[in-house]
Amino acid sequence: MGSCVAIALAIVFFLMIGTQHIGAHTPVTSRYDYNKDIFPLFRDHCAVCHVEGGPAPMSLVTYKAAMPWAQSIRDELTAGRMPPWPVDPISPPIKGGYPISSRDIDVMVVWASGGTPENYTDAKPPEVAFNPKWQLGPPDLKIAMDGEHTVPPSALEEVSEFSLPINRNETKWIKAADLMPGNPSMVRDAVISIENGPVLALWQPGGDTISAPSGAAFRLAPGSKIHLQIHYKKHFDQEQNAVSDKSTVGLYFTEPPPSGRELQSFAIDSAKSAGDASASAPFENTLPKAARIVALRPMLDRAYESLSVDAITPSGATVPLLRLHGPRPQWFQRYWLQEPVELASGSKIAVHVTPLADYSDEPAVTRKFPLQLVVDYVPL
Amino acid sequence: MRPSSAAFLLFAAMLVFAAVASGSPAREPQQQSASPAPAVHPATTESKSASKQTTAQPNGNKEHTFRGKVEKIDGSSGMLTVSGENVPGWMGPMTMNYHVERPENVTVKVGDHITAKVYDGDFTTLHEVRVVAAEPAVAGGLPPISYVCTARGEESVLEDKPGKCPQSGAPRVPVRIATVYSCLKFESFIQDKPGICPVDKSELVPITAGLYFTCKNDSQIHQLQPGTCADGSARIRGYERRPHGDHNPRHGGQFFMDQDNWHHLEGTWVRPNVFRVYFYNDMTQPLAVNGFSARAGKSDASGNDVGAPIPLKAGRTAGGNTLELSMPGEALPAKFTLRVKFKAEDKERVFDFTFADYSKEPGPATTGAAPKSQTSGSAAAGVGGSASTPSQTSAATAQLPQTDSTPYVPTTIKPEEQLPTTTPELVAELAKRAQAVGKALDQGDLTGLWYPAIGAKDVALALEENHISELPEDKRPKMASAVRRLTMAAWEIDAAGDLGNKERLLPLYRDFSAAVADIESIYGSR
Repeated sequence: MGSCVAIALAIVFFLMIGTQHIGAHTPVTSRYDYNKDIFPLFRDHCAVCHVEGGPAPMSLVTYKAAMPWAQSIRDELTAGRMPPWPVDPISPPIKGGYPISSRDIDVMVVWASGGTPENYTDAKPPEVAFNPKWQLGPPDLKIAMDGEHTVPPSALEEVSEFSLPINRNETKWIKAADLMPGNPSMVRDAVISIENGPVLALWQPGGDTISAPSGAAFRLAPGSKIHLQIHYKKHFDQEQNAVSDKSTVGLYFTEPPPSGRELQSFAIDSAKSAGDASASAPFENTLPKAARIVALRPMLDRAYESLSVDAITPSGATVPLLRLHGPRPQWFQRYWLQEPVELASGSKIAVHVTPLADYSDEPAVTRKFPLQLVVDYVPL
Repeated sequence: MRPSSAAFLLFAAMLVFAAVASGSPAREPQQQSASPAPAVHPATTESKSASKQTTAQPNGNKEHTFRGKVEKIDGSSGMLTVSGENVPGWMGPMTMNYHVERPENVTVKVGDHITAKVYDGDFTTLHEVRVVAAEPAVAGGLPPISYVCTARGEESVLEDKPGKCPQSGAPRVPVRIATVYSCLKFESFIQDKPGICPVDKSELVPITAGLYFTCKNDSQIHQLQPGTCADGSARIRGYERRPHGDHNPRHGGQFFMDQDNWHHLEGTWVRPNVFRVYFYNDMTQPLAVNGFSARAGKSDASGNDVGAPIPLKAGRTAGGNTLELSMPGEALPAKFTLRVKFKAEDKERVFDFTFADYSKEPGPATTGAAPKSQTSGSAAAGVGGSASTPSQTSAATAQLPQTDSTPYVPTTIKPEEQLPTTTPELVAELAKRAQAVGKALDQGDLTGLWYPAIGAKDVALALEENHISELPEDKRPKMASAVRRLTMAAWEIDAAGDLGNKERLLPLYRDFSAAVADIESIYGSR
């Protein structure tokens, strides 16, 4: 499942200044109640973040905690900002994520719009606890930050860089990387890389940790360091406090790939500048060599109604690679293809984005990047 | 069971201590010391009056009537745990432990409903406790109690427990919210069923209101629970209007709410070609147009201006709440885009109106007219939190049902709609409802869009859930994608329609239509 933390400030934002057409006090018209109908949906689709002590600033797994957020829940769901998994059902299959059905979204919106009833039956939701864990089990190597990093009361958010030595004298091959935040409430997202090397993981709370497919791995040379970039963002109720974190990176090793070739990437830049509302022209680039495409990383400058990525082979055939509906720039995602695609040398990768028709309700983007697609591949 | 002598003495000592500690007046220690705790009296009758002796009003403090339900009896301390109703000026609805005056005369059991006298300055003692008949339950239960804030700017506060409002610090106010029916222009008449207004014979319109219970002979009683009045009669229902509870146009026009949640307006197109806009507050009370400015222009089908907008002038209606513009020669259907500033420094708010015909003032109902429905599974009018005035309240005279206490299932919930069952029928129904959305948009019925849009969404969901297996596998992802887009667009249309901004609705309608077309294409090409 995609991550959830951005909903925190997004929800607060919308609660404070967002659409206000519906007052909070609607008569009860929902035939769905919290305990029987809504709790299981929140538990299954949201509780990885929206739980007491979790990354999101509000829990959704008790009635008392969830009910006051009904208006924002409705807004986030109907705008497609939540859950943050924008993969369109028409996309070629992507690993990870917990797609939610249209019916389930509808049930939640009916409840949020219809007076948020708690219980029509004797159903009692069980308690749900925040349970952070290494998703792929204990890592082969854990590398903790040297010490605690503190975001002062004067800052709401901050991007910090850390260099983490590994102290290995041998080459290792990495199939996955994960992060265990020391303070889950402030770690908004992170980029885990080999210093001056490839990006190992785009980490977000609640996101799935995916292993590179068989035959693909990142090469960790002796003496390498891990570069950890963490985007800290405080909960709204911690704004005036100093908050600290000491996170740990986990690495998962694998056998050397039979080909001996490591995972590589190349970027396709859009000609438009960051945040440029006018441009929606496709942008493309040619693969530097024959390659097996394993993952795609769109870097967005703003929200889009849709984003599609296609490969155009030298013979002119179009191979769909990715279809997103309503992707948001707040969520960096690496989309691992369920079925890697082999492309001949000279193939093009084309990206097409469609801007949203109305940006008035979108939360401000605090970190702006030029529109770009990064393609992860194994040379053939 | 009777307590031991030691318990007697302990209880007596506690009563004395409580009296001193609480600042309540000294009571009769001799009597108290000899008094058994109320907890130890087995209930021998269903309802037994307590002492008829009159206790002097302690220290002359103000007396209040307390009502509540016994939740627990502590045999050792002789205290009662009582779930008390709101006692205005003394204490809000609360469950807490109370000492009992003259417990030897009180026989209660858990579950009993009691009344008592309480006094300012003493929040721990119940005087003259009486067991009363169990409160009449309402069929199907009652709407839940919510706690809201009454100050402007705090309307969004809604809690399930008492407490303070975040900005004003005022206590949150308990309310029960229900859908009821009122005369359109004689707002004090409210009843719980659709019907005809007895004053002007117009059809009653649905509103959302606060439900409370009062007494025929004591209108000062204002409780959130049914119960018994001092004269032994059952309390009757009363209703009080609430902010945003009534968005019914007063003059046959189109009614919109501004994004500030406070200003409301109703556009009308009246003979001879006058575009007149009525302004209201959140209680749908006329709002003088002092400081308001507005411009209106003819608009095309997309809501774009045709020609320069023209300023509106103050109208001559009695309420002083209108701005209007004469537009001779304008043909039907008439389309206008209204731009309003409520203060000079405001940004202009945009509202789109389309009039297929001249607006008609509501009149007497025609025989057999179906009641309108203001609420649905979706677009119930929002209700903010603000104090209502006595003139906005109405006590119904209907007798309360005397039945069960089953879990509350609101009467506003419509039964699940029966949709067609076959794929061709569902596809046809989807097309019909989608056309209704387009028609409503064309006619400028922006607040009416939600109904066919939500209906179309329901049909699409039924198609996906029950008939997607009829599609070849390669078409199912496209169907799932289209239903997702349709569902989200329908809900957004529902929300945007209330704002009356066609410019905002058009892209949503475009998404909606594209999704419908995709579904029709998928099933058409099976």
